[in-house]
Amino acid sequence: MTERPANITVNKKTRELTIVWDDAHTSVYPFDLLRAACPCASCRGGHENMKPEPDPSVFVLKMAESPSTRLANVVKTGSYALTFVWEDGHDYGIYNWHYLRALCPCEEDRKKFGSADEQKND
Amino acid sequence: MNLTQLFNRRVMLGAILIAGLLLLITIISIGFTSPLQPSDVGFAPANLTVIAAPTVTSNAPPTPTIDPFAPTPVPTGIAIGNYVQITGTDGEGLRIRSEAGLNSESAFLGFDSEVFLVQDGPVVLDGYVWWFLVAPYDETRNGWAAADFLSYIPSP
Repeated sequence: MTERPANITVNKKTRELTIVWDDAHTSVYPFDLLRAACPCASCRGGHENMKPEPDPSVFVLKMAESPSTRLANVVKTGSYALTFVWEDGHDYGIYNWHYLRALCPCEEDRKKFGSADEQKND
Repeated sequence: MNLTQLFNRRVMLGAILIAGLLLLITIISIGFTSPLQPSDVGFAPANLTVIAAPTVTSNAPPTPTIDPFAPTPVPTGIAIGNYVQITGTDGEGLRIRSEAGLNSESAFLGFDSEVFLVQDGPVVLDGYVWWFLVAPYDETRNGWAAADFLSYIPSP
């Protein structure tokens, strides 16, 4: 795991998380994408479905604005991850840097991590 | 050869020099092999900035904001899904506002004793705790009201 953030901004006005990585890449995550991609066992449907990269379906899912997609707080977990606290009280997901980088919705990273995911599934 | 001849000054000095040399080598070798204080273990924590959401939006009911310095709403039984009644206005009625806060325009005047269903909130603003109310018999009668003039009632 080599991904490291240089700067993290949570903007509740625009409902987006922005991470500037140490390779100067900038990832912008809408809150609903973060919630849809919650990596906890409960949201993933069991420990057997937990993977180091997000499920490709999270990029297609659209979640309406609700307490589930409103961010109450964000907490650094050690030096390796962020934990998001949602307004519905859910806070089980630990988003490590690799997972967050793999979740970057930009075209470049989607090609990179999307194809890696397909290769694993083959 | 007696002991005095065996441990003469030259021998003692040589022994001390060798011991010192060995000690020096030991200290240097520990210094080289001990783990460096890593710039690379973990990572230098990134700056984490949180930009708060606006407490009032122009075209949607404001989302409850979390302000660690705001007064904690006193438990009054008022909660989303519960019913409340306007009280304590001395018959003058209560301004129901389009947004939370004293600067928001008054949408209509709620009657004293009028019953509403709580649908959103709380929002702490301008020294009041605000709840979004909807009249159960007329959903067009909705807006934000200060909790000071609301009383919790069981379902009507």
